Amino acid sequence: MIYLNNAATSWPKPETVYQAHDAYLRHLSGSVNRGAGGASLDAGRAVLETRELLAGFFNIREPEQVIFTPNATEALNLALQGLLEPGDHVVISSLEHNAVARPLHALQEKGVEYTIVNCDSRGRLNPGDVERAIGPRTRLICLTHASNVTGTILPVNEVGEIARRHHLQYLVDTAQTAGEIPVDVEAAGITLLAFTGHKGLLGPPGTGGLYIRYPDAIRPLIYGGTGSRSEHLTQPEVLPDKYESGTVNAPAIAALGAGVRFIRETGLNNIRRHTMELTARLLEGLRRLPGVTLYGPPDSGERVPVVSLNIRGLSPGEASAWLADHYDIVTRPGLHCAPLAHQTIGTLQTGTLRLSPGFFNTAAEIEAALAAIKELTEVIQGE
Amino acid sequence: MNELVLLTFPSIFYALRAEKVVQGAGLRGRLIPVPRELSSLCGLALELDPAEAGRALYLLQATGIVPERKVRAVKEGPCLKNISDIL
Repeated sequence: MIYLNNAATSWPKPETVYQAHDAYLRHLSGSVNRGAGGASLDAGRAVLETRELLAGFFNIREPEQVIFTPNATEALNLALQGLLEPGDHVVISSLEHNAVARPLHALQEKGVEYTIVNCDSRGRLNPGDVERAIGPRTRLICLTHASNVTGTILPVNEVGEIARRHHLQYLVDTAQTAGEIPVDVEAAGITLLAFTGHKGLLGPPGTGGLYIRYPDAIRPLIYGGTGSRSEHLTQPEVLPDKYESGTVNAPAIAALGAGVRFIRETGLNNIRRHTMELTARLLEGLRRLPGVTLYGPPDSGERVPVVSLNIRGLSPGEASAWLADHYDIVTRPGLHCAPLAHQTIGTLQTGTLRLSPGFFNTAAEIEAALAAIKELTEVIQGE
Repeated sequence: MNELVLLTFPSIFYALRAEKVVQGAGLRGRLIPVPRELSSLCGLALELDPAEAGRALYLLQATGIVPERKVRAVKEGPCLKNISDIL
């Protein structure tokens, strides 16, 4: 199998991630914050370790401000539903995922308004357009760090400077960038950062989180048992307990820690260099194929390893199925849960075929995928 | 006489961090359930050797970890006696 769907979830994982997950699930039967026995404490220590690793990874000063959630979607919901009140206004880009667009659409019923700032047809965002969209009731700028459709990396530092200047909360969705390119909350002035564990961070599904710089401004999404201050019916204000009710997925979080450690040991620069080379090779090969339309910026340096395309005469679903059936190549067709992005690049009606290499892909696999797509275009042209 | 120093924290997160800081400096520190005599709260307390408590508290302060309570006590079997707050 050639796996080119890393933007959906990375595969394979580093061996240490599998080992950590197995070891913690097998031996750490304890539940974090629920008991003082050895296994409970070890589970708690493992979660603390991952929290501290992630804080270091994103340059977050206080590790308790890293809140674990099951995925980036819940992290984004916590930020949006926890922060926004009737009358608030939000500025977003036209590349946002439904994990942002749907909660905001739903919050409209409660009197929250938002403005979508259009990116160009390659997915590029002009920070000046963001600033012009800010109004007197704007409370938040919410930006994806990179599009899961076009791969375009958005100028988060420049927009962060605008948010800082206007004293706004700044939420960045790093689902496609954490583990791919550097993310620094201090440099970008990020006050809320959503991440997922199972993509670039190489951890298992069911892991993600939100960095919350100003917890006084954010209501919890979930209330319940925290293993602390149990005699009070009010939710604790202390972090991370305020936002982490219920049993956390300690084995998966421990495995996520192994993923972050792998990235640290391998070097983010080395990972980026390799995936950029694969992406450049893929783009170059695809450009030579007649009947193939490519989306996103032409330079692999402007994008994460996400390549969207269409083949003339064939739907993305048909192309994806053909690649899977004939070559055992895993891709993803459709709208990728991001209709705004497809509207931006003009593919809302068709969707795209998405190929997303990861660190464990090889140049030979990219060549094999190119040969398969070439054959597919020839088959279509022959008809 | 089995003397000890116990620290309680606002949450288990801080108790775990305190244990890591103390043990990372080569000091003895052990997490135990918060004794009923100290608090009705569920949670963990960090047990320290009285001889090392001063250094441990200095390290915690330097790391920004603030205990909720700091007490000296004497252990008699499973019970704590003569509990007194450290100022």
